[in-house]
Amino acid sequence: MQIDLAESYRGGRRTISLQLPVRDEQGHLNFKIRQLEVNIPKGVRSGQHLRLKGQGGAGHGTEPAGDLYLEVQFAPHRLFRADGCDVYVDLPVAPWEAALGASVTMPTPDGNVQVSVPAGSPSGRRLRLRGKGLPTTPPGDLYAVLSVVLPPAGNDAAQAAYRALASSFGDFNPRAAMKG
Amino acid sequence: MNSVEGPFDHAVIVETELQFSLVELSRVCGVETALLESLVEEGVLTPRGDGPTEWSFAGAIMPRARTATRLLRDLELSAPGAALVIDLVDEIERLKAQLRRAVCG
Repeated sequence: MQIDLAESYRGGRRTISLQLPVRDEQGHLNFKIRQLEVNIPKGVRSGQHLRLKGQGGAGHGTEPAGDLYLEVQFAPHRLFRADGCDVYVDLPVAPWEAALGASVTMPTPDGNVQVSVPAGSPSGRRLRLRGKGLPTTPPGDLYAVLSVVLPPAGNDAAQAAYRALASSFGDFNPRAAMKG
Repeated sequence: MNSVEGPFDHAVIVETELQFSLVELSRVCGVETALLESLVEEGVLTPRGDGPTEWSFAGAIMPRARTATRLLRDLELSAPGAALVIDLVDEIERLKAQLRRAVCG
């Protein structure tokens, strides 16, 4: 059963369809569709299973009659990634935000948050937002993974700005560690 | 036209909220209790409690128990064979998780 990350944060409801093989009086195999509306417990993780007591039935493969088990999977999300109960977000920042520090707004599965980017943050730095991951017990953490994005040098003014930057940092050599 | 049944408000997370006795787990896996006992002997499953009648399996092992019993029943592996396969599957999952973390940060 695929759910969205946000549904695990808030809990929710989902209608699922089960396709069950049944034999009719002539012995022909037909499929019966059964639709169930189930609750999504808050904090459920991808790979965990939900049990619905008494909703199983004969014909569910190898399951004996009685309980229904559903495996939960998170649908892929373009912004968020879950790893257990921790959630990861790629946070793009401008070079000056990473160099000088900044307070930026970032989306999370549970709404926007303000993130403090420390001065001198390199790309790849992870900022941990404690307890903002999945609402498990204890709650997981949310990690903002910084990604410094270069403004495009698309026009004369932008190129001039970059050249001025280069002059200001005349001695800066990012490849210094590669010598020898 | 199919109508929607429910709402059912009692879905529980197996891994965190449930415990299984030997008999309950054998029902879930669709196997004889003896088969589960051999898996416990092999160390594939580790219940709490002394003796089969007192065993309590944490809900978190349900997927593992189902995989193991399928190996025993459908592939007709021995209990040590199933134990080996489970160990390898665990290792693969561990490596995949490591790889995901390394690639995605």
